[in-house]
Amino acid sequence: MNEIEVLVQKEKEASYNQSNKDLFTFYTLTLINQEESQGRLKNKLISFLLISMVPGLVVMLNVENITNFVLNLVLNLSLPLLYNTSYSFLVCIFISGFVLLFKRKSFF
Amino acid sequence: MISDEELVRRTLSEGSHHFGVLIQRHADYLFGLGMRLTSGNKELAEDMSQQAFMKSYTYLKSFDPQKSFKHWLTGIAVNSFKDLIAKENQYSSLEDKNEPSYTPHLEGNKDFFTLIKPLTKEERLMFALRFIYDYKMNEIGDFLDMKTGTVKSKISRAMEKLK
Repeated sequence: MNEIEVLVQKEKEASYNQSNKDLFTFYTLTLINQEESQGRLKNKLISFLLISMVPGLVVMLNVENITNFVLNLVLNLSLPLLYNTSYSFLVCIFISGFVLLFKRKSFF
Repeated sequence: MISDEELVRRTLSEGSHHFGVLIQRHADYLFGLGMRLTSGNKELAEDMSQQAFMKSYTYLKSFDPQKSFKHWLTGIAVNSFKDLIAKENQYSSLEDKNEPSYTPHLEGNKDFFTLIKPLTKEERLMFALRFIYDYKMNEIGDFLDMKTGTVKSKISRAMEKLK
């Protein structure tokens, strides 16, 4: 048996012990749980973002229909009122009131 | 005693607390492997074994219950050691050579560590797996993602260095 074989044999017989196995186990499990909860949180955030994107996508796909609908609604409601003289008078008063208030740069 | 494979199954179905038993069971083995691979650097050996346990938990679903858990864990530990070497090389290239470096606290069989000192980290890894843990060449090749022939030639080169 040469020197290398002797040293290898001696090393094979040597045993190594983790100094505080309970603490090591507890700490490793804590790290594992921490990583696991981080992963869960990340997954939740990703799914929340994906779900919140759905209404946005629906709006984007139907943007033309939605704007047409809103414009029609506004015009259908406001135009007939403008033909009425008393309503037109009220609108003019409101507009000139706002213009005057803004020119003074303060409401008070 | 509950088998490792059963504990893995319970961990997957019931939660991480069962994994604690596996850690307790294999902590000394992985620490010993770490000590041999890091030439007695206790801190690095502990880091390596901890990383190996954490990685094994992450990839636990990929564990094949037909195979030995210890063998699978060894493969993961070897890869953790490779990662540690890569990280160490990355930091040492950034380190100022004139700065006083941290001297690790070395423990264990000093004669053996002196013997393997002339070897590179990869060669030490192969040497320890082949001669201390009696792994076959093809198994070492599987761990390191290398061909058996390459492992054989690297080990014989390491042996020549030692003579």
